[in-house]
Amino acid sequence: MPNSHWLNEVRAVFRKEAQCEFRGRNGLATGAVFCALVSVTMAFIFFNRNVNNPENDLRTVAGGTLWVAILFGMVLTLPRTFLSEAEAGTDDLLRLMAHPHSVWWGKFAFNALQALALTAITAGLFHLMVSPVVAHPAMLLLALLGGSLAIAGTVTVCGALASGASGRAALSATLAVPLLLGLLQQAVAAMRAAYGAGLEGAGWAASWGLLLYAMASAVIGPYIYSATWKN
Amino acid sequence: MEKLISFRSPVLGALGLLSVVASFLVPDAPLFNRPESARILFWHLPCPMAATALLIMGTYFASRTLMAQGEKRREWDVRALAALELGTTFVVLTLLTGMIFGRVQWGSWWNNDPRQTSYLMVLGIYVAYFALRGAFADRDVRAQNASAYALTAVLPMFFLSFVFPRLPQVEQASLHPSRTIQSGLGSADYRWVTLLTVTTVALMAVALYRARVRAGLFELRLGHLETDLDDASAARVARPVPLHETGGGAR
Repeated sequence: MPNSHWLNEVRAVFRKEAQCEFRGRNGLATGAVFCALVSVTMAFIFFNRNVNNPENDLRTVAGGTLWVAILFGMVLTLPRTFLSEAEAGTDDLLRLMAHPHSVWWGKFAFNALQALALTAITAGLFHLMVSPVVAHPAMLLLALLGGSLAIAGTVTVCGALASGASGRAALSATLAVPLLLGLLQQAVAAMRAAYGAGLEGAGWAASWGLLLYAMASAVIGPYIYSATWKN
Repeated sequence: MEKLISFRSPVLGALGLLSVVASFLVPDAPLFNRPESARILFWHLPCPMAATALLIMGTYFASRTLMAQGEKRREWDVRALAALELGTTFVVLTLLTGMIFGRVQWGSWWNNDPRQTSYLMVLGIYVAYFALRGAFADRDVRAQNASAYALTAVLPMFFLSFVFPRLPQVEQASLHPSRTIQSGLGSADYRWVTLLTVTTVALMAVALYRARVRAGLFELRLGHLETDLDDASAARVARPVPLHETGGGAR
């Protein structure tokens, strides 16, 4: 039976992040605008080209450019949950009021919600502008869900590690991107299969792999954060 | 044993010389574009083995760093840093020897081969580790956060080193030979020389690691001595001497 004290703390941290975001609107709004701009820029690659033509390999390029747009948007936005605490000087207060696992889960839950919103905006705009034909919609959705949550988990941990450092914003991106490159390869493979260009079996394996990685990062994340709790 | 695995050891030097000479004495491999270039295998093969072993050791020492307290934590951090520094060096050597082989065998330094690219990603992960270390001035916070990152990196490192290159669609598309060791490394000559070079590189890695750890622990002790000296000098307090006691001043 889950500890109600732990759940209350997680809910409190989540509510606090949501309230800060709705008051300031500098996380999701900035990220959404950035993702939209990157999507539009990436769509120029396909100007006057038919991405669904089976004779070219633009469906792979389409998957790659979509994930680049999603990754850059998330790396810009998601670490703010920890970095803003360090900038405002409220991280010590948080240590007095809550337990590390609760803080991590509350912030990860909020970051996961942000990640899904950013993915929906980016993928929606990208598909509107580029119009790739989706051969396997369920695979596409699973890949977007698993990939977004996996990126959210990794970027949350890297934000926590970089929050006490100098140049913390750039450092969190520097830490997160190399950890995510292998994951992105699987995400692009899943998208290629979802657009009908790759093997369906490989696409499903990659999609489920993304979801499993997301679960692994969610499980490991609180312990990593707890280890750095007492700075 | 300690004397055997040190830079002053004549055994290590003799092994190194023997490895170099032996690698030139084996016959050329006929299946390669330039048969004489197959010799790079003797130096390319031990590098990822050493790199993987050192990166795994570094991750273990990072976990010990997080479990320890005080001075023990700093000592474990020295060991973790030494292992990860050396591991990263061997990753670079793997990429460089692989690029030399690729240039000769396939005509270009970089072929966007999946195995080449995945190992470059591993290098990126550990370069970020050193970037994280450089961002903290406080040594204990640095040790703590860097160790946490090393533990976070273990899953992507394993995936990129062991899983990704062996995925069926990746193995088919890759130029990099697979199952080289399982296939027995070709002829008996090549097997013996490979074993010799692997042993030489392994002993050299151990010697480098030990030297680096010794240097790191010495730096720690030096840091303590400097702190002790600062504390000792700060303990002196200038006390004003009343002039009438010495009899030297005006009344």
